[in-house]
Amino acid sequence: MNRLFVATLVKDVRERLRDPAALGLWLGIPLVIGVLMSLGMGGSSGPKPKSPLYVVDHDESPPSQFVANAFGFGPFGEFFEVSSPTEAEARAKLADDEGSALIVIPEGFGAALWRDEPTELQLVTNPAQRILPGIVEETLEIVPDLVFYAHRLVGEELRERFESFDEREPTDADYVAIGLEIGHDVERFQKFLLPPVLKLASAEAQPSSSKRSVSFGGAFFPSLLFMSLIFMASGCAEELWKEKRQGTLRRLVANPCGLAGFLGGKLVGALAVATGVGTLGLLLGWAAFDLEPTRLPLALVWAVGGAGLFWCLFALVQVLSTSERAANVIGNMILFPLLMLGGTFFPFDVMPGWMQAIGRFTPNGWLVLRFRELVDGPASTGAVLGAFALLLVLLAAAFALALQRFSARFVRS
Amino acid sequence: MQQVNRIEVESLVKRYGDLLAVDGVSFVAEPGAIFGLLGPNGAGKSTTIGCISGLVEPSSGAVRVLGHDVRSAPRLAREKLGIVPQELAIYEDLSAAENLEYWGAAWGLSGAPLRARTGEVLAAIGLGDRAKEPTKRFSGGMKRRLNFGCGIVHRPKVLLLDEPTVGVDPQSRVKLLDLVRAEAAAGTCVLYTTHYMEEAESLCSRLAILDHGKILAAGTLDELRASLGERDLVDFLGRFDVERARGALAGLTGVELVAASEAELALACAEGTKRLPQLLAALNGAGDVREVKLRRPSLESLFIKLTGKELRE
Ligand SMILES: Nc1ncnc2c1ncn2[C@@H]1O[C@H](COP(=O)(O)OP(=O)(O)O)[C@@H](O)[C@H]1O
Ligand SMILES: [Mg+2]
Repeated sequence: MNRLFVATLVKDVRERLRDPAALGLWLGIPLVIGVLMSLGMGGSSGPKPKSPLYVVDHDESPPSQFVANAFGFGPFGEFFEVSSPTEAEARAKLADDEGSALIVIPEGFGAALWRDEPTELQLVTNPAQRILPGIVEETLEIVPDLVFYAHRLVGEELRERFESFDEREPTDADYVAIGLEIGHDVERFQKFLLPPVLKLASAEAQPSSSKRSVSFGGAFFPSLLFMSLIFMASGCAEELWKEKRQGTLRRLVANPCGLAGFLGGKLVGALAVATGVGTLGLLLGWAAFDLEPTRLPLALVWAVGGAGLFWCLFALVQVLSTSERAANVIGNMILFPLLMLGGTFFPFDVMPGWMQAIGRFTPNGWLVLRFRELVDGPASTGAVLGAFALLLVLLAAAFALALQRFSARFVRS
Repeated sequence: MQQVNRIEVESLVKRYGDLLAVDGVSFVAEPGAIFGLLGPNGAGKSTTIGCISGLVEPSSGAVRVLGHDVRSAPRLAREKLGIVPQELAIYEDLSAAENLEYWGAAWGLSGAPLRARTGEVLAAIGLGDRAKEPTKRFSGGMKRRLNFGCGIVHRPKVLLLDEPTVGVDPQSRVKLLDLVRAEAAAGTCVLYTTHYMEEAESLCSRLAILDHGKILAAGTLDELRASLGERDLVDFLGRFDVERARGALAGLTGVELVAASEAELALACAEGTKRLPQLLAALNGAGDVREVKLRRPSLESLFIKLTGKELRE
């Protein structure tokens, strides 16, 4: 076996283990987001009486529908019976101790969100209840965060577009057009370079097993796992510019084994770390969400392969970039929109239809959806084989491309 | 075929656009000796080294290492090649031992021999007691020594050293130069680039003076001096009769009395060592010689003659 390959693999894994903070971050960010997303979803899955939750949507835009739908989904669906009476009816019912809470979405809510203008959701809770209204409240508190991220990503573009809507309200078609534009122009993502999402990690929230939730968590779990793996892949690929900065590539080119062994060693090193992260993630998932154990090994292979694909993509970004800074900027510009669109920051199920339609065609969207089938969906042998074959082909193609650029230009420039 | 630890560079050219970084360089570096490439910044030393190591694609010309062409048989040419780049090439997050282990393993060592060799090199570069620390905490000199260690850990037969002592403390420099001599003494072919005259003079058995990508002069130190007509300075200390000394030396060809006093006579002549007995004999009747100093002309003056400029800014 290529000795440079083995040496590099061992060295890279060693370096990774030397940096437990990064490892912790990769696992921690998704965990914190997961915990935030499923806050307040407690208890076992026994049948419970559902409590009415009233949503009055004066706006009826896609963003307002997103908020309204979120409460009908997953575990919320177990607690709440969402209905849309008139505001007066709803207030009257709450006053009669009937129902948990009333969410009032004001007119112009969606447009204000898109424009990054202040807007407010009104929450009226039933004073006689404590826990259920609390769940609604905490969940709603996440919305501003998501909106904040969205604005750091695409805010300027949206504001520009909305200037053109001065005379009229945006239609659904406008929202679709905006969605399609996301990902075309990359410069506006610069502001996201110090993503506030990273700050969450310092919150050091401990995942607590009492916070387990079956369906919501179960559905969101694949997204979180891939978030971890993609962060990890990105972090590992960033080693390429670090190697260049440290000058080690200058000695490396004189190695008789060739550069394929080196880059292959780095890829497999990343796969090894992914196997560790993935195993840990799947064990957590298995403990928290009752995943079917017999399905996990294949799911792990898929997840690790997916991490490998992302490593190759980020490696390609690294070797195509002319400076370390540019490499990391461009990497993030690609990473965060992909996570947003591809059902990784929040599950597909709560995304509006147009976003789901785009997200399915992102690499992470594809990986997550297939992963969900592998874990608890119907998956025919043919479909599984096909998916693995496609993954392998993509992986090989991305690696070959990265290797070509790496040896032809990157090591020598 | 018997492999010879040799570097052969033939009519090497490297062009960067309009700039000829290396312009028809040829030389042969022999086993068991240190071949010096001496030249100011930008002369083309690193580019030449890069063409040998594979970092730089030559525009034309041929390079053979251990008899193998570096382009048509790179694997064989690099098998026993060690390289110490001008810029550091070490992993800052790994320890010194881990760095050595990585580069040793990358060149085919493993298991117990790798561990033994790592310990040996650590001791040689004087980092035995700091072996387990991340190298980012090291001083510049320590990093330089480790950089050197990483280049020799696999016992190369051909060693490329690109200004390995730049910016190191005096102790580290002495240590490094000793290590370089030890490599050559063990039979390795060493190519050493520098812009320090004293290093070239004290280390290299043969050297080439490089400027603007061209070799201006090459050979042993003695040959270089002779080729330039440089003369040795011979100082006689003692008590002399200046007039008689002047008369006695006038009969010798190629000897010039540069300075004369009752206490000192300074002569300039080619091959001063060889002519010393003759000089002493001539001065026999002109006074008492208590001390003789022989000074060879420095590379510095040579370099100034060749290029019209000082080596160091
Ligand atoms: N990658 C490059 N692109 C363009 N010019 C270069 C490159 N590398 C070196 N040079 C130029 O080639 C000349 C020789 O450089 P170098 O070999 O590094 O000199 P030295 O090592 O003797 O200081 C310099 O003028 C330098 O600017
Ligand atoms: Mg140089």
